[in-house]
Amino acid sequence: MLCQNCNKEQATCHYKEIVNGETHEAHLCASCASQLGYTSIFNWSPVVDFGFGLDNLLSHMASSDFARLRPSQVCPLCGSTSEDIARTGRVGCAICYETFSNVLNHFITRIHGNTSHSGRIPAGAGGKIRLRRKLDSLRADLRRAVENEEFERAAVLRDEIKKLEEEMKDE
Amino acid sequence: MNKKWYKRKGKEGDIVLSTRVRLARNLRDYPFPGKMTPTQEREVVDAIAKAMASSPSGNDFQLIEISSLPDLERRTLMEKHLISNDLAEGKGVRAMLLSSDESVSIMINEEDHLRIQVLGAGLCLEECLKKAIEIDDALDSNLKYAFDETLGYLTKCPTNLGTGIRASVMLHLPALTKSGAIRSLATSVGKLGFVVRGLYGEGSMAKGALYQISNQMTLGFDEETIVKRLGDVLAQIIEHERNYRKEMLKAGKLRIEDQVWRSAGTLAYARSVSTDEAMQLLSDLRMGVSMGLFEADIEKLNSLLWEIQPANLTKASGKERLTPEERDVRRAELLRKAFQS
Repeated sequence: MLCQNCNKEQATCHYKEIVNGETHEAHLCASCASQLGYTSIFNWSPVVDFGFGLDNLLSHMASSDFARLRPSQVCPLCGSTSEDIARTGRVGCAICYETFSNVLNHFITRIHGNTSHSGRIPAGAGGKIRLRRKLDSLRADLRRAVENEEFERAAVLRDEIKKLEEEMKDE
Repeated sequence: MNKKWYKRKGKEGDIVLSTRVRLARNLRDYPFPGKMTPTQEREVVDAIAKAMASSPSGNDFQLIEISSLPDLERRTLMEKHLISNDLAEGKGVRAMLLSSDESVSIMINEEDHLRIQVLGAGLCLEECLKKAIEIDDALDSNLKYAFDETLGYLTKCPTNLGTGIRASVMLHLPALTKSGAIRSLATSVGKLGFVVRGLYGEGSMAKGALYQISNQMTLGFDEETIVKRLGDVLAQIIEHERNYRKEMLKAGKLRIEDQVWRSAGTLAYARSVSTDEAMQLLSDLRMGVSMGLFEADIEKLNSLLWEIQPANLTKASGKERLTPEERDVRRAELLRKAFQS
């Protein structure tokens, strides 16, 4: 954008003033701005592109992924169709992640990269997963204990692992 | 200590106004918000309220039915960042659980069934995360969350999958704004998986040089790692801002001092001030204070930042409605009272 005043230089100073609901805007180059008395160094801020429009971005990505889904599918729990998800970039329920897993997984990889969850696990739904992770970390501890010749500690760990393995079997 | 977080000054308080950590959760047995019947929406609110009531800290929480709250009350909560615009303006049965010190706000039936939010003054990412996890554990033992081993906590928007965590910090960056460096900063933190936004979330412009910086990645890293990485990025941003402030002072102290005192003058004497103007003036003053050019209580400035917002101003007036002109006059009165002493 060229400076409103001289029409020669690039406008690098953008002013917006709102007085009693009336908006006044000025786009000026630095030298015109100071000539015209816009000397305040605080009253302007460079235009930063914040509204990159997550909604638009998502639905655009989703529709290109879901376009490959023929014929259209419907989620048995919430009734969401592949078109619904393509339009909004959002799913309708937990079961949608199973119903549309083929396309959703591709979509998710494009957002997050090829990765899987490594954070917290709910007590209710994730009992088994928790046990498995606990077991993995105990086994690693055991290996380290043996390598370091900490046999007393290794014995404690071994018993703990045994107990957990029993628990896993019972479930 | 009894002061609410949004009236206090915390760690790195010259630059960091506040911190928020939120966890997105959904119940396994209900469709996500927007796909539920009104009966289901009611059941979800009741189930979550009940789970909270039977948790150890249950007595500390109050259930607020957002969907039956007057417009003004909803906006008041939003301006204090206790609820999102989506919860305030959304459809269907919506509610919130608010702790007595207002540092924990659990939004029910926003985009997800649950949005556990913990807020604090200044830079306090670890503390907020710890508290959020405590609340999550308390609710988890009484609810069945939607969860998948690979995808983690299931959310309505796939961008929140995994940990469902969003840690964000509100920053005052006048020197980076003035120098234009904020642009390249927004781009480079973007490459690291963080987003820069204006004060009131997505799409809102940065008024008064106030920005929110938050993580975007939610899947593949655990909660502690995500929060730590954000902390590392913030430490650098804070250092840059301080350096730019020093440079600005070196380059022209008189001009800055003059601007700060002019803003102080306007705050102390103006008869009509718009929200945007007030935010800019307070921003100038805030910077003046942290540069040692002006004396004022940062906590007072933090409080004024939301007291001058339209809904809070209207509520304080005791009236149901004020025209924009009436608000500007009241805002000027409020500011005069604060700065004429």
